[in-house]
Amino acid sequence: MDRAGFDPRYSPEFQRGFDPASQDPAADADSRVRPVPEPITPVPQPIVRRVPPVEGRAAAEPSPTAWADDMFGPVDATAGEHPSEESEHPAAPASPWRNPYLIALTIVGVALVAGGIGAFRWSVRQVFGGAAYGSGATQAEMEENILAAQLAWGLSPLLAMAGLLTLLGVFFFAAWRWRPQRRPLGDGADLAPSVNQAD
Amino acid sequence: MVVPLRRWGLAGLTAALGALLLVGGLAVAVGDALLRSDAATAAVTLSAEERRQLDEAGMSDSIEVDAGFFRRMMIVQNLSSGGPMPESAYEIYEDEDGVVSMSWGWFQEGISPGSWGGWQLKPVGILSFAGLALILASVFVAAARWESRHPLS
Repeated sequence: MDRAGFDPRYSPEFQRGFDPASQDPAADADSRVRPVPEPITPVPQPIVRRVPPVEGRAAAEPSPTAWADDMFGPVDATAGEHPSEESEHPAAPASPWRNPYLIALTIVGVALVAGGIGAFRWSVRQVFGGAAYGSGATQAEMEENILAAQLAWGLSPLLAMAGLLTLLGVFFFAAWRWRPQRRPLGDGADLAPSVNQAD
Repeated sequence: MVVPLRRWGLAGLTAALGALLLVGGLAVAVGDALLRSDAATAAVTLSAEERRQLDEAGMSDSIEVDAGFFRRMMIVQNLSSGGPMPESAYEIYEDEDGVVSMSWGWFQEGISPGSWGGWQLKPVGILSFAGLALILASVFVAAARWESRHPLS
């Protein structure tokens, strides 16, 4: 509402409480010249997510609870969330390595492989080398050492295997999400016909 | 069952189930290791009759030193062979000069193990492995969902 109490989106003369005598004559004359006033464009511009740079910035700065939405959100929450945006920008070259979950999986996979191998080497040294029965260790410490060595012996190869499978999964995921870089118009595509014409 | 799935998300349920399996599998593995240690201790523990015979032969002191080493070897043998816990047996004999000797070893199904074998997949390890695999799978699902939420990234 403006100061006179009119809705700015519509011409005042079509609204309740309009007094033609209180208006500026020049403006009144102008309004008579233009019998059908153009409606004022609504002030709020709600569609800001359709602009690509804004979308990119939103992707670069996720909300602190975005991981919870990804992990615990409804299953089909993303299925039809932005269908129009995806259809408007269908072939944006995507790098799967900007996915934080993929980066985390890669780090976890490498850590599992390295940790599994290291833990198995440690357990072999404990049980075969007798490190679990080192001099100066009390009976309770030796029991803890041999217990940890048993756990490491039994589980560390599985940890390394889980890490390998994780890295394989990351590799397949990246291959699934990989898209070729779109070439700009006019490079090789324009060159080939001209060569043919020269022949 | 459909409503909770849609409310909490398949990835969240998978992660929760994986965490349960991982914790439960680790607990079972710890219990299995404790049982193995107890079985090895029982295998090298001498009965009262055996201890009396060793006392008579004057070898009860040296047997205590050997028992710790035997116990460790039995644990290693059980870990690497995947079979049952070996048994220990000893023999006291006297040679023609009157010298009393003792032979003590561990035997598995009547045969003295000659090789150590290798790593064996135990059923108790499968539980924790499955839990870890489920947690990792839920992160993969989250990664796929993140891609659909941020199509331009």
